[in-house]
Amino acid sequence: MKQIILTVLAFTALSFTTASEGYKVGDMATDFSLKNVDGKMVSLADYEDAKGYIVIFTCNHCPYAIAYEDRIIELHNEYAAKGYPVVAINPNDPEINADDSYVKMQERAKEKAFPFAYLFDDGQKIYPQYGATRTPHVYLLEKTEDGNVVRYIGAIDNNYEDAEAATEHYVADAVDALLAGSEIETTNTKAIGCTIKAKK
Amino acid sequence: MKTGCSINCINIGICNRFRYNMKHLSLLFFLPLFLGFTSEQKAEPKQIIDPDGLNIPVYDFENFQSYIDRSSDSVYVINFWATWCKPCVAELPYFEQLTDSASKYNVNVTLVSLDFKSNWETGLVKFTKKMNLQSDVIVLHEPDANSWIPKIDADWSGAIPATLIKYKNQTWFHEGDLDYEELINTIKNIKS
Repeated sequence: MKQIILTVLAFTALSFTTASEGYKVGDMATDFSLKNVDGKMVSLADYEDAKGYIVIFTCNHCPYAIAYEDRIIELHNEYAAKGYPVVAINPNDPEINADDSYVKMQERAKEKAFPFAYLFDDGQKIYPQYGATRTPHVYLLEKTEDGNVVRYIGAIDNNYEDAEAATEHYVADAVDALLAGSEIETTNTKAIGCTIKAKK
Repeated sequence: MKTGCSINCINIGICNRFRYNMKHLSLLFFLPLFLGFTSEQKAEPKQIIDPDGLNIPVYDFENFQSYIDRSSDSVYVINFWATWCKPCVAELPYFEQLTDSASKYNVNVTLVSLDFKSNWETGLVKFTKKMNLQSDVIVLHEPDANSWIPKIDADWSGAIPATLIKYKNQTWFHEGDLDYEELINTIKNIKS
């Protein structure tokens, strides 16, 4: 019996040691200057009227990213006017997957008429600072006097396969909570996604 | 393992002394474990993808967990992958190589496909046939990923490929790709 209790305690302890690199909720997120599909450089600071940002690491080739494209468009259409635009960033090295090249990004943005900025993390300097590991991977930031505070990290909702079947809309709920000045209920979620492609 | 043994004892009723000594509280504690143990053995797939006798079972997470919670002297190597995931496909030959030497190392390799439902009949079946995969191929279909990813490993971000290695009560988890040498070394380490 004692052994079982010890095992349970050990597991509980383990589950709290989820130390990984990158931002945690509450950290300050870095700004950046990355090239948008329209050729212009974009920084978070350029969005003067924003209350925050829905930063989404996503890409062209990943089926999970593709499955969420329409939902990312919807998020922007719903929340940009309320002060939370989507800022999408492709973190992949196109030498590993040619579908994620800047030119292919431009093509995809045009095909889907992305209403948000779709930026290329050229040189892969930004995603490691955020700690993004997969696409799609969301970092919801709130703009404060001290900087951009990470408020939520994780998935868009809880059903990658079928938007209609999703019962939890993590990002939308988190933005709604920020807009209402209330506590965000779920601040971290996990999701299956494609590993961000980088050279070894 | 100890828990499993005492449950067996209760089950077949030859462990009278042990049972006699147990307090009511302990019985209450063990009963759910016992029930869990019996359902473990079932691990029913919710569907079988079966064109031309390929027989790929589809599990929800609950039954998948029962499937991977098998406990024996084998080392269980459980690889999470998908046909569209390039680094996953690139490392598959190492897992197949491991299946080739399954008896040498007493390992059992399961390739857990996370392919979308829309890709099962076409992509996954076609791929499994084309590659002539010899390891066990199963599908895990549980779109609410946040509900089960932390149950595999607390540190798993959800990126694939990812590999879980289980031996008796030990587990080892890795997010990212692996080569054959890393696999073999991990298996040797976990057994030593």
